[in-house]
Amino acid sequence: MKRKAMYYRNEEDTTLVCELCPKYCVLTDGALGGCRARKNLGGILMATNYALATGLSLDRIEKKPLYHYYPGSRILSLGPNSCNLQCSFCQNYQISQMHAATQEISPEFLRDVIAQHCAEALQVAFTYTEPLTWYEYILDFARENPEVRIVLVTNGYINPRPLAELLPHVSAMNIDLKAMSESFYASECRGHLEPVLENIRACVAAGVHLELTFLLIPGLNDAPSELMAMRDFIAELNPELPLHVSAYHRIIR
Amino acid sequence: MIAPATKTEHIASAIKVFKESLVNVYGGNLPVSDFMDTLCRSCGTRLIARTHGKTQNFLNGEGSCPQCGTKAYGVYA
Repeated sequence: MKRKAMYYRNEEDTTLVCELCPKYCVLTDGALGGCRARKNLGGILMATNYALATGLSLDRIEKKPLYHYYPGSRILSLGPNSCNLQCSFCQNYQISQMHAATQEISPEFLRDVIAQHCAEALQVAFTYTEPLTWYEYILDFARENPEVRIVLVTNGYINPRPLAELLPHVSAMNIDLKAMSESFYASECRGHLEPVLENIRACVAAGVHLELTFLLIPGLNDAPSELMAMRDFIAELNPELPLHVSAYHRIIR
Repeated sequence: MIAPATKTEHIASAIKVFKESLVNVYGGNLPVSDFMDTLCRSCGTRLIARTHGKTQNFLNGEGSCPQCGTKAYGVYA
């Protein structure tokens, strides 16, 4: 399936700038974005990962993790073969950072699978890798299926305008807060901290059910001052916001 | 990047810092089932019991504590 991407601007000739996330990749004709999900084809940005899923399974919602959202329910889960951050500690880099096998799951087929396997609660999680790099697919699906609860498990790395367009369709989110230092986001993730904090604030303001995940990596993002800064940031938003402190497992690349 | 794997003790001590101001803090991705239950923020009653394979929900219909009636954060019905 082919779908023109949203959120980009044309520069001179056929060069364009992707405006979906704060990376603002500059793409000449034929170039692929840093997320490996969007490609400049003759001056038009295409979502080349549209409807292509790396995995499709039925999970307990606790596994997302979401602990305060329909506890014990089952949720169909799938994700694209792409991500817009490049974390040195990625726990599933085989499907987020490298080419992996995908299967096509059209929005119509996805609707059928959800109806078949989650009949007691129509809900779907876009997860495993980075769903925000599946922007058009998720937005198309959500618009056509307002009765299905949409869950995103995400790094929260997106620009304000596309986030604002997507949020009214989203029921619940788990956003990764990877650290409280800009230097960690810059050196370990090739991104920036502030857009993530800004988007967490926006999700709280929009009233989406939100939980946060912090992957603790000993010696890298667990300095007492950093933990306290994270605690105070969350407490100021809402002291009841659930926080999942997750264990890092060593990876061998 | 070379970093040692996170031990349960690391998670436990971080959770202690977070709980100074936050109500719902959990440990994840651990071999143990500690740090997984939800307790009432007012009276401490166990509201949701979790293990790696099972969730038991003791909340009243709309998501309030069966003992003191305090509403739990979240969406339950």
